[in-house]
Amino acid sequence: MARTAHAYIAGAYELPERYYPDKTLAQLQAEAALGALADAGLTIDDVDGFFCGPDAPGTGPLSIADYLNLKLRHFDTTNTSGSSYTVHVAHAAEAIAAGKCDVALITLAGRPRAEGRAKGALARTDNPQQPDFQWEQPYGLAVLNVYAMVARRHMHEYGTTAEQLAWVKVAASHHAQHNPNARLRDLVTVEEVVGSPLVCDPLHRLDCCVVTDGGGALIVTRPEIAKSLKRPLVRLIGSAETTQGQNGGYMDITTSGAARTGPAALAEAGVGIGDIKYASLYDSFTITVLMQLEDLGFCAKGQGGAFVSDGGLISGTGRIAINTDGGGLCNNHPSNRGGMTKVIEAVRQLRGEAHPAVQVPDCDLALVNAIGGQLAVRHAPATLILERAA
Amino acid sequence: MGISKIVMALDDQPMWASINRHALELQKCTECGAFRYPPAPVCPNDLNDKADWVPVTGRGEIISWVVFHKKYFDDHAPLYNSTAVRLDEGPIIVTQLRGEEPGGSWIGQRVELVYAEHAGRSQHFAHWLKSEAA
Repeated sequence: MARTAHAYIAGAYELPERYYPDKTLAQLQAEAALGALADAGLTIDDVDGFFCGPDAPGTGPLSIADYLNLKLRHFDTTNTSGSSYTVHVAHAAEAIAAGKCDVALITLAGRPRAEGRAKGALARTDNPQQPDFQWEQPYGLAVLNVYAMVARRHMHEYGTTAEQLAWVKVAASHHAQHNPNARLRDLVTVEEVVGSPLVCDPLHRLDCCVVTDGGGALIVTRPEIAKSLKRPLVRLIGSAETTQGQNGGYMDITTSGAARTGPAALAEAGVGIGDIKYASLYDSFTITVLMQLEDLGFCAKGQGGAFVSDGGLISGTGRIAINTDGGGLCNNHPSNRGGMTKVIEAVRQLRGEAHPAVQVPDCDLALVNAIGGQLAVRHAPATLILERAA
Repeated sequence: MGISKIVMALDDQPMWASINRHALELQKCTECGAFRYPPAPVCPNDLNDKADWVPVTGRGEIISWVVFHKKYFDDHAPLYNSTAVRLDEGPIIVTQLRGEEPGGSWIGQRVELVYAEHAGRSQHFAHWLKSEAA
């Protein structure tokens, strides 16, 4: 189904630091919001829609809306973990099309490092009443276990190697060296990735994303408002979201729900995967990127290893430029929720405002995909197709 | 840190009782006959809310496995494995392989559930069926 009204991303802002010991969560939310509004050329008084996740302190939108003195006509606190903010962009566009708001603010902020919660992939502390949790809970499984399970199975089915997965991290480091705010800015080699300590075999420490404080915000607005502003125009032309779980114990752990959201979003946008110039793909772990490349259709299922190898994801020389800010693997993964920064870097690319060393020439079409939750057992992929508009 | 916890909602109680008896039972839908895991109030195929608790053979095939090199729980000291097994009855469960380990890839190897006390509770573990080696 084609869209009848397109919303625009008019403002995008990423908090510069990766460690915030001296600022409150509410202050970070406010700084992110004001940064995105300033980027758009709007003020807090223009905001009439607010979208946030559970990282916002307080009940739903209530405390931050009060703290920012928002006068709201619409709010949405959809929580699909790391993909929440990607979902929020799509939901904001839907709300705008329905006339429910004109200027939607989407925020994310967190300070797990400052709060001492950045101990790598933590042991699970979810509600033991969560019914689908039985699958992994009693056997000492932590967050990354299912990703390692997926990686091992992928290796078995398709011959994917640890060295191929390492190329995803290598590409991220190539991009992050140009990002002065990136958490990890040193170039790494395939040998360094596979030589880093195994955390959960087959995944190494350098197969894992960083944990950072920080956050960001986005402004989504109606076409006529976006066109009245002085920023390059970035238009949402396709989106899709889904959930995928265990299906009573009969799941295929090497196919993610992005296999459904990717084609759906592309179809809505009326473009093909081959038209995409830049992609932001959620990189919680190296395997997460490989799975999305296949499931979204950048390459055939099982060909992800070859696709990412030999610098396949490095901007300028690779097959497709992804995560040119350094991604979650090297740059930023605020509050363990990477969907926000994925959208922000896509906006930079479409505006031509990425770092010159990683800017994709004539970048007029970008794809964003986030995987919230966990591969294999419960996740919510969300895909956006964004275009640079005249 | 702390010890790993079991999930014990109302739907789970019969399963843990069966594990305490060292004979795993899972729900089998009275309509479509499918076994399901984890325990759930309805069948994912037809949403039928009637199921029988039926013993499973405990035999199955490893579909993936991981080995933790980092400590996350007091009751699981590294190196420890988590192993996903597709039971012959259909569902994929997670358990832990104990005893002799296959050389090379574990995927495709046949296993059988055994039971042992762990952290003050009974749990199932998998033993490699070497005689049925893939």
